[in-house]
This record gives sequence, C-alpha cells and structure tokens, in this order.
Amino acid sequence: MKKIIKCVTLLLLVLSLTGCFGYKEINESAIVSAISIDVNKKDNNKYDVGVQIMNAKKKENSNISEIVFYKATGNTIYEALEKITLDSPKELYLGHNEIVIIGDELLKIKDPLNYLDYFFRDPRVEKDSLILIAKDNKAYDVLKILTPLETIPSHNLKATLFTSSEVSGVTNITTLDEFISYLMTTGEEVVLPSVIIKGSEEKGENIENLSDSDPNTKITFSDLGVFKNNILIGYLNDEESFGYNLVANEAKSTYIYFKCDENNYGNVKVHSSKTEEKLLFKNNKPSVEITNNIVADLIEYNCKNDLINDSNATKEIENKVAKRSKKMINEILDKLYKEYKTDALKYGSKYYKNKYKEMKELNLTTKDIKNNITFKVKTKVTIRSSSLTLKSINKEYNYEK
Amino acid sequence: MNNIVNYIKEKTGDAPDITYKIFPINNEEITLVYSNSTSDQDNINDFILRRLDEDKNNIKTKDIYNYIKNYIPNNNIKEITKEESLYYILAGFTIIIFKNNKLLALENKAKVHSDISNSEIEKSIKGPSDAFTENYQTNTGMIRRRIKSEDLWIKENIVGTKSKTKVGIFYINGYAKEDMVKNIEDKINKIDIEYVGNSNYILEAISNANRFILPTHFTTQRPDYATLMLMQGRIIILVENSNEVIILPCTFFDFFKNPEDYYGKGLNVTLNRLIRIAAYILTVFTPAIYISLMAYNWESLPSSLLINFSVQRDGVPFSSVFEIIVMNMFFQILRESDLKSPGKGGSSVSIVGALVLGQAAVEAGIVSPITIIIVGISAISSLCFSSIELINSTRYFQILLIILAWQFGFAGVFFGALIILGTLVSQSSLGVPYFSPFEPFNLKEQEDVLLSKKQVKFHPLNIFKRSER
Repeated sequence: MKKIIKCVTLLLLVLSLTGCFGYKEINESAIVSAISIDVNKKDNNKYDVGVQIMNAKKKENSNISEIVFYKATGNTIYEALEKITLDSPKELYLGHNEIVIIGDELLKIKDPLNYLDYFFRDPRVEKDSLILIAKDNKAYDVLKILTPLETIPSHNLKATLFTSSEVSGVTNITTLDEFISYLMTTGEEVVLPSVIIKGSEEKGENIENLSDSDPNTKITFSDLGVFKNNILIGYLNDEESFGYNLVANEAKSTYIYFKCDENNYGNVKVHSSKTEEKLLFKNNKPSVEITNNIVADLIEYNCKNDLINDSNATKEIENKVAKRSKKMINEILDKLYKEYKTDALKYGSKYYKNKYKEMKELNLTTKDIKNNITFKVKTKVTIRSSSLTLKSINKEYNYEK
Repeated sequence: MNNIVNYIKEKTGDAPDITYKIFPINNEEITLVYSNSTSDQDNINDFILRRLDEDKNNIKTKDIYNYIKNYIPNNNIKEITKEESLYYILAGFTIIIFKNNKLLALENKAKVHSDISNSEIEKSIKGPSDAFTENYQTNTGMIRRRIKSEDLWIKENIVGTKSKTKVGIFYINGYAKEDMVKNIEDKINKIDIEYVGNSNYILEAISNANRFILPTHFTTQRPDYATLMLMQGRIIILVENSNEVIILPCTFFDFFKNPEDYYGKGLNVTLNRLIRIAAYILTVFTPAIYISLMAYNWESLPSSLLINFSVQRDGVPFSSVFEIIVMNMFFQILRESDLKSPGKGGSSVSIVGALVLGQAAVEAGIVSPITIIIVGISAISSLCFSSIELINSTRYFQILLIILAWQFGFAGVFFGALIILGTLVSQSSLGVPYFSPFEPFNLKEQEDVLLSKKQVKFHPLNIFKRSER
C-alpha cells in the first residue's frame, strides 16, 4: 500500500511538470483567425498589427457581424498584441490563427526575419497559418473586408487559396513555418501569393456588403510576390505564376489554352504535370536540365479540325501546348534569374544539398550559382483523351449543311 | 412422545403456524407435526392422512413405524433426530412422532415461489426465455435438463445460522479446477452469517476483492447462459430463494458478452461486441475528454468547431467541469428514481422528462447545449450493459478522469487511463487474470471474446486455461 501511494504521488508530481496548468474556458478567450502586419510610416516605422477575432456571441440577431477587429501599434509584434488586449475584454488566443497578411510596403523595406520571431518562438501560436501579401492596400484593410460565401473572412481567404492553387495553378501556398525556414536558408528565396481588394474599401467593411448578391467589394488573389534577399522586389503576373508553378512542381490540376486557328482557341485540362531537374555543370558553370511532362485531356476545342480523320491533329495540339508551356517556363526563368536576379526556384540550396562536392571543387557559392545558372528546357505533352467527342461541334455543324 | 412435542413448542415459542395432530392407529397414537405456512396442506390430507385413515384398521403388522416408512406414498422419507426436527418442520416437512420417540420426516413442501417466467434483466430476443426462479429445486432442474451428463456435479451446503439457506456449487467434473471448487466450498462452509438474503450475500462472503471497484463475478438469471458458462469450466453458485446465480471466475470482457451472442450470426456478434466496448470507452472517457478540450487542448479542435463551442458557452455562468458534474449527477438521480419508482413503465416518461428539463436548462442559459450532448452520450452508452454492477463502477472512473482532466487536461486523462488499465490488469478472479485474454495475451481465447467463432461455440474454451501464462 505504501508503495502504491509513493508511486501515485510520484506520477502526480510528474504531471505537474507538463505545464498544463491554468484551467481556462474557451469563452474566456478571443479566438484570433487572422493577423495583419503593416508598417506605420508616420510613427517611426513601428508595426501596425491588426487582428480579426471570431465573435463568439450568441446569434439572436443575425445582423451582427461574425468578426471583430482590433488594431494597435508597437515596436514589436508582441507589444502591439498586448496593447490590443487592453481594448479587448478577452485574452487573445493565436492557436487557431489561419492567415497572416503582411503589407506590401513593409515587405519592401524590411526583412521579415526582423519581426516574425514572436510567431516562431511562442508555442501557443499556430505555425500552420498561411502567409499572404496585401498588394495594393494596407493589410489591415484587407482583413476588414467581409466576405459573402464564408462568414469568417479568413476562412474565405483560406478556402479560396486552396481551391485556386488546386484548380488554376496560379497561386502558391506557403505556411508560416515554411516561410520562416525559406527566409532563414541561404540559396532559397520565397514566393508568396498576394491579395487585392476589388471595389470600395469602406463598403466592404459594412454588413450590407454581405446582403448584396453581387457584393461591391471582394478580395481576390493576385500576382505572386517575388523576394530577393528577403525583401519583396516585384510580382509575377498570372502567366509567369503558372510557369513558376510548372517548374516548382506545384501545378496540380490546371488548364493551358492554345491557339488552334486564327481566331479560335482550345483548352487542355492538365491531369498531371511532372518536372524533373538534372543539376549539371557545363564549363564549370551550373546548368539545369528541366524536363516537364504534362498529361492532359482535351477539354475545349473550338476549331474545325477533325480529330478522327486527321491523325496529326492530336500531335499538333500536343506540340502547341508543349510549345506554350516551354515558352512560359523560359519566360519565368528569364524573369527570375536575369531580370530580378533572385533564386526563387531555390537552385542554390538544391545544388548545395545535392552537388556539394562539385561546388567545393569549383569553388562556387550559392550566390555564384544564382548568378551564373543556365537552363535547358524540354517539355512534353501527352493528350490522354478528348473527353466525350472526337470531333469539334463546328465540324458537325458543317456536315449538316 | 410428549417430551418431543414440548421440546418443539419450547424451541419455537409455541408458534401458531405449527399444527400438532394426534392420530390414533392400531391402539397406538402417533403425532403429526407440520407447519401450516411452509407445507402443502392438500398433500398432507391426500397422501398421509387419508392413507392412514383408510388403513388404520387393516394394518396387519404391529410395527407402525416400519409401515409408514415403507408404504406411505412419499418420495422423501427420512429418519431424523429430535434436534433435526426443528429444521425439517420449518423447511416444509411433516414430522411423525412415534410412541418410542422415533421420528420420521415426510416432505410436503408448499410452492411458495413464483412460476418460471421470462427474465426481466436479461431480455431475450432469440433463444430460450425461461429464467431462474426463487425455488432451488426448480433451478437445479433447469440446469440438469440442459446437461444430462453425470459429470454435472453438485456440492450442497447449508448456510446461515438462522436462515439455513441451501447453497449449491455446480460444476462440471473434469472441466472446473478441482482445487478452486474446494476453495469455494471451504469458504462457504466458513461463512459466519445469520441470514442469507440473496446470492450476493454469499458472493460478498467468498470474494476477496471487495476493495476492487469492478465486479469480479457476474450473475445471470438465464439458465441457458449459466449452462454455457458451466461448459467453459466455470463454477456456478446457486442460492436458495434467489433467482440469480453467481458465475465464477469472471473476466472484464465477460461483461461485453450477452447470452444472445451465442445464438446470433458470428459476424454480427463481432460488431455488437465492438460496439459494446466502444460504448464502455465512451461512458468512461467522454466527459473528461470534453473538459480537457474545453479548458486546455483547444489546438486539437478544428477552428470551426472551436468557435462553435465558444458560441455555445457564451453567457453560461458556470465552468464546464461544474456543468458536467451537475448534469451527470442529475442523470444518476434520474436513473435511480426510474429504477426505484413503482411501476416499470416510467422509463420513457423519465427520458422525455430529462430531455425537456435539459432543453429548458439550455434555453434558460444555465447549461450549454454541448454539455447536454456530452452527458447524453455518456449516459446512453452506459445503458448498453445489463450488469448493474458494471455501470455503477464506471462512475468512479468517470469522476476520477473528470478531476484529472480539470487539473491537467489531456495529460491527466491519459494518466487516469493508465491508472484504470493498471487496476484492470492487476486483478484476478479465482486465479484467472481479470484482463485476460489480452493480458496475458492469448490469441485463441480472443476469438471467443471479440469474435464468436463456430469452433468456440461447439467446443467451449476452458476459462482456467487462461491463467497459464
């Protein structure tokens, strides 16, 4: 019996080491769903931190907005968050934070590693939240827009980002911990999706924005932001973003259009896209062989070719699409490595990880790799099926005549 | 002769229900003594008095004692002593006192017991529906009828200085462990008890694990199940005036079995057992897990659920621990009142009453709706089992886990689960490990616990083999 008492006491003491103290009910905390970080240029470049809090009030009147916003300024992120606690009756809980929006201005002047430390250090902060750039507006303004389809704006943004990255292949998902690890690693640069507000900002903050079937103000995803030395230096447009995703193997299911005669276009839906890279050295200079294989279905074809009788027609489409994808890839490589001179496709770190010996022999740094890298691009497209019909409806219409 | 009558009168305080009938026969007088309340009057009239009356003048032999002993139509005639006579009178025998102070006892027991009916506790959908009654003889018959082999052995003892209750140990010779039977018999012989109210009295006397929360035995009202248990080598204790029989030894997983399981299709039975095990886990853990989710481990909830909980708890004045404990207690009171209230139709009414009360409490803002759901899940799951002992014991585990969850969150719940598992694993019942066949691990036995295989049904596995590690 004495032994048992000893054991139980010992185990209870061990339990007290878990640090699980502090009984606290859910409704005593304010659940933060999104955070915005801006630079306050008027006030000594301090940080403006805004939070979007899920309103946990009972809904007797459905006109109450589901979210509440607070904003404060501080020298550090944590200081600002503490100041918010002065305004809010409940303590902030960041464990379910979904989105961190950072203002374009701030990213252009300061390395995020100088202010994201709190997010990385505090165990109570969600590390899996998504990072976004507010391109044309203040991040706080983006945060405040109420959205129609999901009651909580951060859900809306998150869902849109996931769907669009899956379907269109022009956006890119980066989580907070990935973001910080990219920033910390030499030879890697980040690419972040950005959001913009369409329509008037003031109207978007009102609850009426939700009652319109065509809301005045919407948040949409825009270009991918490119970083160099952890500073935002520019944006990629849709076409370039798509090219980036093709090379980075992030394009899961998307579409590529092609011109099939003078005025008409066709479309293929990408079923799978796989990019293989061979890291080589040519004349003591890094050279990458990029091979992109796309398997696609023909989903739209508005021209008059007959795919049955003309055996070359499919091949022709394949070539056209391959050409286009090659062009897109070349464009993005040029833009990143010649215009911006940034290693957003992370070849520096890839060479460092895989070809360390050769790099040492040639006395190359990751920076040299970034500056001297050359590419050889090969693309291949296989059209798997043409869906329900082999002919174009155009052609059939002509038969009838 | 008179001194025996006087002896009986003195010992019983001249009980009003004992009749002394003097019957002259062949120039001799015999005295019949019987109890009006425990013996069958018709039987005495028809088979003793009438027979003696018809024959009294025709008896050729002078030895009335031998005549009665040999020719009276009665199946159970015994020569007894003066001291034994008291027991036999009160047990429903007719005592005949002869001139030479010899005594004979003739059985004329009255039927003071209920007829064989359906079991109230273990309801039967499939399979025989007869249940044990309060009559020891009938109960024995119900088991004998099912096992006609001579290997069904019975050891009988009389227990209770005042009640003098018959206690029978039933087992199948060769299947049950002989030393265990002896062990139980010794214990029963040694019981120092005045009155045996029900089989549980015997159980408490022979059980050495009274401090253990969970029951180390189980009882059944169904003779078919009792027989099946005999076939597995278990020992059955039948107690007079009790309609439940005790089955020993018993393991934790026996509570997840049901007599019906052996009559159903194996695959369905497997699913049923898994559901019962899940129900037990739900009963014990749901409130504690809910509390740790509400107060410590928010990160384990999806955010939409978290905000949902948060909204539901908005404006509720009490902490979730308090809510859970109060609502749980409310349910226990409800269950108790439902069981004890006269008239058994009350169950549906009280469930509806609980719902209405629960809903009203939610609308009044005293408790959050999710608490009602949690308590409901835990309560409904606990109603899956027919063993009252098992359900009652889960409450201790519930409270233990609730307190640990309240203080330490999930870490506490896991710690509590370890304690519970520890208590389960460390116990044994008549040398059979309580958590067998999972600890010690025995794959073949698990076929009988989780699955219901044909081979196991046709050739039941012996329970005592489990103790061999």
